[in-house]
Amino acid sequence: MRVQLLPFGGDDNGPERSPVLPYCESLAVGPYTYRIRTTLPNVAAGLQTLYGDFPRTDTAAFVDFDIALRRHGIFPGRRLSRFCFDGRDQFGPVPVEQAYASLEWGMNWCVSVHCNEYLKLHAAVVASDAGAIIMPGVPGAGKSTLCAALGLSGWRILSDEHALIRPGSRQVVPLCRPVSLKNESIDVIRRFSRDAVFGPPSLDTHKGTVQHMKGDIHPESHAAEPVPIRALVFPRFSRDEPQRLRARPRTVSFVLAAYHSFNYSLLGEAGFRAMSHLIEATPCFDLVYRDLEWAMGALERVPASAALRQSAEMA
Amino acid sequence: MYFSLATSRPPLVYSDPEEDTAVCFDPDSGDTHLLSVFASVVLSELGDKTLSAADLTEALKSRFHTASAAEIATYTPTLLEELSNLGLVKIHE
Repeated sequence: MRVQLLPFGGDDNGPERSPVLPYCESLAVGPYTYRIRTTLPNVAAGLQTLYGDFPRTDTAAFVDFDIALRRHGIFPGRRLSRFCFDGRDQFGPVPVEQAYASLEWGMNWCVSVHCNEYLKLHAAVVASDAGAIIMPGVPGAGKSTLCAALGLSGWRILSDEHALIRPGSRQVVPLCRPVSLKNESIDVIRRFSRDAVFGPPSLDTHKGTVQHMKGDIHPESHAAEPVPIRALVFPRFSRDEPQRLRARPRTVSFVLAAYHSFNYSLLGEAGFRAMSHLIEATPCFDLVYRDLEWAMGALERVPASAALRQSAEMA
Repeated sequence: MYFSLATSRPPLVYSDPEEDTAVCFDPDSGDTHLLSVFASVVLSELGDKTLSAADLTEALKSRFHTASAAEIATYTPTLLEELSNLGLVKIHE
């Protein structure tokens, strides 16, 4: 994680070719700081749209993640870009038209492979006054669509990708960023609310069409304080099954949450203890839905965790 | 035939009194297993001891009154073999 600013615009093997810097910002995102630089106009436009309200820090100061999106190759007919972390290409070239999605995926990767001070679940996380609901799920389970709809309905989006839980706590650390929507979900959310603000679409990615929705749309979106966890809900979109919100056994939920964790195994015994501490006081549910309004109503009815009830009684 | 824990330290177990499964963490391999409550009781009974299948059957009978003694006696050897396959229990011939 480099501290100093690096020469920008050229590749690692040649001189600097593009001194123009349409975008160079250090963004405070939850507990981390990203410095993002790019000369790609579509990426810069997306950043301005989706991160325009994020707190800025000094671009010369220490950052956790130093990212650059660079044009790749010397042939003008091949419009490629590459994602560089600490000056090194991480994932190989992608078409420029997919560069914005690659930036967001790269930003996810930064947290997924680092940051092991937290137990990290692959989950969307939303909060109301009653606490945070963690929604782990595989890609395509419908967690991002639900997360976006909840965000557009007054809930606070804490994350679309990572639930960060400090071991020994039952609180989730906010890491609000844009919500990643794919294929039909993009139009579902466009129809759901005209207030949704979208970044540039990335077409024909390995996930299909991907477009990100502005996630910091709640007055407290950038508040840093951890939020008490109300419940763990495992959502699944299904056109065919009856909609239901059903309590699920804690032990089975433990194993499923571990499956959805980026670093449960890496943490070893500390991961087991962190998960035990979380699960033993947190109600767990399966949510099968096809209708967003129904799903949001069901989440409103989710009871609070024992820890939350205790703190409310004490208050 | 006798049985003891195969791990260098007792496995960590998370259970809920209202559920019939338990989560077991193997401190040597780092693997996490979803086991029956019967299995978690066997691991707990073994502790630092070496016990026979008959000892463990008796322990299970005293803990699970809803299952018949015959069912437990039939089930225990299979359970011990499965725990051995997971690397949690060692079999002494």
